[in-house]
Amino acid sequence: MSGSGTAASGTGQTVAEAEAALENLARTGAEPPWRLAQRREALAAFTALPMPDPLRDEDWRRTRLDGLELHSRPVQALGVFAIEGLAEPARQAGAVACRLGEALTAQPELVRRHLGSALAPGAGKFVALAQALAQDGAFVWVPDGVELQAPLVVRDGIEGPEAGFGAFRHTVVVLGAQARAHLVVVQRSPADRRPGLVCSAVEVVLGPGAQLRYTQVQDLGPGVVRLECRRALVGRDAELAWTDCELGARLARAEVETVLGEPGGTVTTGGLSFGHRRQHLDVLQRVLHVARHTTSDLAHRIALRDRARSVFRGIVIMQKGCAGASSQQHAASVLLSPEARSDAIPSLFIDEDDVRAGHGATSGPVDERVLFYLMSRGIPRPLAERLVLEGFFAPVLARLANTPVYDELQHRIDQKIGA
Amino acid sequence: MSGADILESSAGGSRLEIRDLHVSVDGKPILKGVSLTVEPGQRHAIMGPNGSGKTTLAYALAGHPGYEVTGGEVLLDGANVLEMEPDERARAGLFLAFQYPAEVPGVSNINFLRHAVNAVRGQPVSVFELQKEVQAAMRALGMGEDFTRRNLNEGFSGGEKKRNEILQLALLKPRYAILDETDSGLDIDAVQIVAKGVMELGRPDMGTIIITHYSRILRYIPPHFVHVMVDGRIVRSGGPQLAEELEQSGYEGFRVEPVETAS
Repeated sequence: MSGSGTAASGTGQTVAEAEAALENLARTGAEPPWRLAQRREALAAFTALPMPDPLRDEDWRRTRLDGLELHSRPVQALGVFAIEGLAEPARQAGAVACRLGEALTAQPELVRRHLGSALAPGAGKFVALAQALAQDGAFVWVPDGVELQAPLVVRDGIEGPEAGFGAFRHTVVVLGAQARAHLVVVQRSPADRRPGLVCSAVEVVLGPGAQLRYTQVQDLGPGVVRLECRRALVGRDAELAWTDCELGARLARAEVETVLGEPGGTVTTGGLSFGHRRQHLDVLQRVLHVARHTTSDLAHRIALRDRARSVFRGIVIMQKGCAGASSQQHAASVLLSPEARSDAIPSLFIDEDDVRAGHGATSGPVDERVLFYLMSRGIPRPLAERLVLEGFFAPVLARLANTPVYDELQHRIDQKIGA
Repeated sequence: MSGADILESSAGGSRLEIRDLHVSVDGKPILKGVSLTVEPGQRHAIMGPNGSGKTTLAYALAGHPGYEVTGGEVLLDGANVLEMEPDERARAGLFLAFQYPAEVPGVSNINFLRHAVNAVRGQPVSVFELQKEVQAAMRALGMGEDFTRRNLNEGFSGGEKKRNEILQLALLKPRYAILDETDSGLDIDAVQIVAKGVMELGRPDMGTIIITHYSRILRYIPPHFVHVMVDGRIVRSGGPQLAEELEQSGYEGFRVEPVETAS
């Protein structure tokens, strides 16, 4: 299954009126009762949970949501949500890749089994919000032993009234034993300054030996606040690779938690944040090493122009019993203006003796030695800077090689370099 | 061809002219009045002990921002080189083969060469044409095919970096090249290959300044003139035989007396 469609919600006016919106949804009979019950549970969790407090919550100290006025936000959005790339042989082998709504209709039991299996609504205020109000999302299910050769591409092109929009997404990706997939999610919205809220919950479950690459290109408009929560449960000897490319939005926060709960599980991250003007881009990667011989390798590359700001937090928790585990993290920042600021903050919590863990960070302007070298070969300074930045991001782009979004991403990075 | 012949044959034409150049680094005077004129086709060796200012001369000519010119002039065909940005100097025909070339992560050699060649030639070269030129130069320099795909100087050995510098010289065809200790860190075979590259892959009328500690490379890039630099000044100039003399006697005899007090 694959599909695309207009992602209109029609579920109400603002977050404050969400309850009425859910009642409307119930009347239409478009969703099964268990699903509505889940939404109500999520809405109750959202209402009960407090807004993050920058004074008390370390994870929110550097990203303030002051003035977000969540309750007056609209909960409607338009646009096109499409998922492509599921080949016929994989489909025949039982693989599913479609919009969540379609999956609910076509395979309700399969969805019921997996929806909420990695992210409970109580996991956080914004998880609850996304789950309660989700207008769309992807549902990907790859059975045991099935390998998807081509990447699945989700195009989430969000539109909405100029007065403002609210887009809520709930995506679920489940890979069976030894299954393999690459999911690429591209989120876009108009490049004008219209205000918008994009709030997503993403759940990932990997069976034994499964391999998933999850790539996201966040290229939302400059008036958008984006809040995303993702959680992955990684099975025995399974491998998960996150690649987050944060390019757009006024304020973007991604909170990604990976649980290495079975022996031999591995997670790597290799993303980028490229901000300009007054963009605030915040990526939080949290890894829980629970089982033995689990591995995490977190890397992030950051370039900032103008007064842009980046926060990268790598929080690694090595629990008692994760003997033989190892963890590395490295953040590299290039500051293209003296007003730009990058905070890369590693945190390690180690409760097991037999582990290896390390972290590093570099930050500074473009290396003048390198610029001089390139210029000494006739290359003008602006082009030399561009080459250095392209080179800086090259390892991230390499993770997207052979995907349909490689050229788009390179083009967008070039645009931002010259913007 | 003797030095005198060259001087005569090109008198009045294009030249690189360094006049009484003074350069400071971090406020400390390093070059204290260097004058040198290089005519097309001439090869000038500058020899001297460590810390005498040879590399400072190279960097100052290339326009490194850390090297402050406090006096003197550098003219290329009468144009003031010191007013040009480093990239303008390169486009005007100057080339510095670095002693320690920078590593540029993520930028492939071929991509870099394409941009450099386009900039210096002032018109885009076709990918096919460039590949052909690059392959030919790489063969001459004994470089493996994978050089073009590897990131510029990243993880290159010292010898690979030096070859890569001469590969760039071969493609950019500068009118005046400064080779800053291109022989250092190379074994004798590599010196021969690199020197052959300089002699055969550059323009036939390329003016060359060869900065070196040792006379070894001068066997393969025979200079018309040899200059001895000590303490920021050229203290003696002569023909090729001066290099052999230095090989025998070292720089001991050229230690400058404190000039200010000597007068």
